[in-house]
Amino acid sequence: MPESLADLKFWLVALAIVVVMTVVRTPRTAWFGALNLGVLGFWLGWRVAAAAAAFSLALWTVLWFARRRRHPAQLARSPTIAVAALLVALFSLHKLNLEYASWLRPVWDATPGRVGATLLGLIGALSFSYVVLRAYDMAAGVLLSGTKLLGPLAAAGYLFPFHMLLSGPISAYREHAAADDAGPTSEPRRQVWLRAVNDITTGMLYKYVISEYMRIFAFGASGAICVESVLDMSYLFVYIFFDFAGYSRIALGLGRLLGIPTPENFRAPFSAKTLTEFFTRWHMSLGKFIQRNIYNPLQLHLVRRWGVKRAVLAGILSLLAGWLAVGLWHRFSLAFLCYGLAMSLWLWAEKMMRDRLLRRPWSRRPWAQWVSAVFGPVYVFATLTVMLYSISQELIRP
Amino acid sequence: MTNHEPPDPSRGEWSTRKVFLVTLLVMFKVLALVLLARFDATQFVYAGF
Repeated sequence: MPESLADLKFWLVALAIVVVMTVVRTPRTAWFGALNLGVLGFWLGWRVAAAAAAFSLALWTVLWFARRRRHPAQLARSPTIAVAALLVALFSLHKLNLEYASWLRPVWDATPGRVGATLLGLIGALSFSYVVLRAYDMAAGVLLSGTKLLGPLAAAGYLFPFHMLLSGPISAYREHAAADDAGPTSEPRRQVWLRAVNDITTGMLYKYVISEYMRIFAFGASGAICVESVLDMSYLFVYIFFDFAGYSRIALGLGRLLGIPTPENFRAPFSAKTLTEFFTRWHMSLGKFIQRNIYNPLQLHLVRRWGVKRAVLAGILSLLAGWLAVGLWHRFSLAFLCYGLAMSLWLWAEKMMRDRLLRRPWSRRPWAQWVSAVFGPVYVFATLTVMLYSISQELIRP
Repeated sequence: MTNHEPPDPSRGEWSTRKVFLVTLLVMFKVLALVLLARFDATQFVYAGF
């Protein structure tokens, strides 16, 4: 699977689908789903397109049956749990990084017709491209929140959108499903195009110029990333931003042209004054996914169960659960588990400190605001760099 | 994971001045990308271009 958007085939099919999507009216999601499968076939081969179609059809079928049996009083719990368990299992298999485990390589290669290797590749594609997270969002939206179930074609467009396939962002199912009902935008078409082209060109500059120059400047002409000091980690941190934000910005621009909901993923994260604010600006679509599917439901459940007297404890546990999920989302390893744990505790301590400071009258004075604006971003960058440095070997491992 | 979100600065209809400036910026970026690809291809080859 190509790992770069700098692929002429990609841009050719992107242009073609944008032209067609400009003409089609409703239902946009079904049109997009059908065209998107064609794009996948042309860009990545018919096997990928067939696998995407089969996976979407299978998920749609399970959800359709589960929804038929659904009644407000008795939610079809067993299919819901089965879907969730299957998706978590798929996700876990990939996050265990089995495809890179050298001891397993001979086993995969020895399977008849290299079925094992193919299966691992498929599992890798499902997880790496955030398909599992989207599938989970779709299942939770349909079965738990009552969002309408899109048809199988539209579902394929939601689960495998070609412009968000390689590294997200993770679009919300509810927003995707609402795209058919949304009226024409009040924004002039010319402005939509200008914004889109602005996003795409900025993304390309970020991804193919700034981040690549930065990598060569920091790690040498070979471009091989190695972290031996905190300074190396700080370079890597900035490099990751330009690479990932550039990619996300290109996806955002294409999403605007296609008229398909594509969430913003980064919003000037290095200007954040606190870590809490940083994570509302960095990889925003993952943060919102965790908020939608883990943090909010868990907090609500715990408060209902324990009462508002223990709301603080419910908040801490929900934060912990959300951050453990973020840690393990990077990889199933002890280092990332500790990273999630440390981050949740740090954020909680920061919140406590901020709440206390904000109660003081001097915290609203201009000089205090100035100090916060200048030193806040420094504190955020330094803290994160040191935290990431402590797991740097895990971070750069393939 | 908080309820507050930073405001989206891109909402609303743009003024003529903003349209002009963004168009200029886009043209500059396209020119930069084309020139870099033409005269300094190393990074682009490296990036997979």
